Amino acid sequence: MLLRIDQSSTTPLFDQLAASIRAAAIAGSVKAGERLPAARDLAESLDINVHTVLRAYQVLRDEGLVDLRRGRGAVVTDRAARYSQLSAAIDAVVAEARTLELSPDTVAALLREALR
Amino acid sequence: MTTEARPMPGRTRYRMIGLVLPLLIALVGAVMAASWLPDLPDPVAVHWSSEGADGFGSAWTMILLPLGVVTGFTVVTQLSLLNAPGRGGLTSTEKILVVSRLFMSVLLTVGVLGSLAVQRGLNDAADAPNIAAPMIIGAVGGFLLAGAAWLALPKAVPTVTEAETAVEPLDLAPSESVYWSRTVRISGGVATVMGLVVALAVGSSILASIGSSSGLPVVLTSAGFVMVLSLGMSFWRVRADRRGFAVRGLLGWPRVSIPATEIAEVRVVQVNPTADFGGWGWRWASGNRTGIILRSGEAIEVARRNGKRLVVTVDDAETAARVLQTLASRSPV
Repeated sequence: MLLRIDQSSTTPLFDQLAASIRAAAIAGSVKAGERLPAARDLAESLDINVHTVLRAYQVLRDEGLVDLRRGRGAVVTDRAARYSQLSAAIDAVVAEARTLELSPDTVAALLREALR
Repeated sequence: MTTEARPMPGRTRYRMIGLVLPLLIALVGAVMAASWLPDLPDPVAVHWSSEGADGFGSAWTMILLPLGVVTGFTVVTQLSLLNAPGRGGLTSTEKILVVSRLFMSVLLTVGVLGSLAVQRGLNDAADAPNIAAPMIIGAVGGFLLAGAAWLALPKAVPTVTEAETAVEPLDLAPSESVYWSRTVRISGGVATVMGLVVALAVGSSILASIGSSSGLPVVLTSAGFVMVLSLGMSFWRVRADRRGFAVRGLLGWPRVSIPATEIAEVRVVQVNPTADFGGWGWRWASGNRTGIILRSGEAIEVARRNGKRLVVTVDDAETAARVLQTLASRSPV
């Protein structure tokens, strides 16, 4: 599981972290039943506040991607596996956007428009 | 397996020293022992304690024991050498395996011959004298022969496939932080073998303690320790971040961490557990290597500035190597 966050980005850190973990779960590099690192540990690794990590975990819990339980930490649910079709579709979108030489921002704008 | 038919260097020498010689010694020993059969008491003494012979059995068991054990050991160890021809020779770990066949063959053959020799002409095996001398001669002789065989065999080939492609650093902006982690667990096959070994150890130590009930707490404590240790060693979390590289077992121990500032070089390597590390688990190998080896195949090798190397079999080792490479070049030296 590779997580990256950019301190200089305008996207909130907890959003970046949640997106990074979501991507890892979809790619299968973190599997259902696996425990995410302890919030304190991850905060130390990424040099961010522990509450930022907890907030990211809460976002993922609200989405149903992780289970938060006292004493057990954040455990990945099997929901990520069901994202596989979505991720295949996203791959297709990305490939198509590359051949059309669309910028990432344009593609994101198109997706936002379509989701509205 | 390998398509090109390149013969392994020194193959004839290997066959003579590693296969023919240990089996020949055991065979000659068995023939010699069998020729003594008319002079031997029936049953013969097969086990000794400090007070003298205390276990008795059929002479044939003793006669065939070295041959059987050496044949079995040779066949089993041969299986782990299957990759050697493709690699161009034996690694040092494999050489140890091969010469230990000779050690075992001499030790058992001399030991059995010696313990039968002292019983020739006896009517009752209970009168058999002590056999410490042949056992010591067998051990020393076996050790010397194994040492000679080590020198006679071709030089060991380097362990762990060298010269993998250099890892590309990540395109990481200075404002970006990165975290990589992965869990590693032992494969089903290894877990089964480990479970059997633990069960065997626990079972045999309980059997052994039946005679003296005072030993039971000690046995249970050590059995418990073995179980906890195997459990703790069967699941690991591997982590790479700005602090460096860290590996910790399920129970938080054992753990190893290498600070980013101490990392000299990171590579992705292919590991063959028996050839490179002599097995699975927490291992030491030549070339200043420590290994946490839970399967064969892809592994990350982290070299410290002091020359020590840590090898961990983990999926997606390439990403880990890229992360560490990037962070190591970022941290001030």
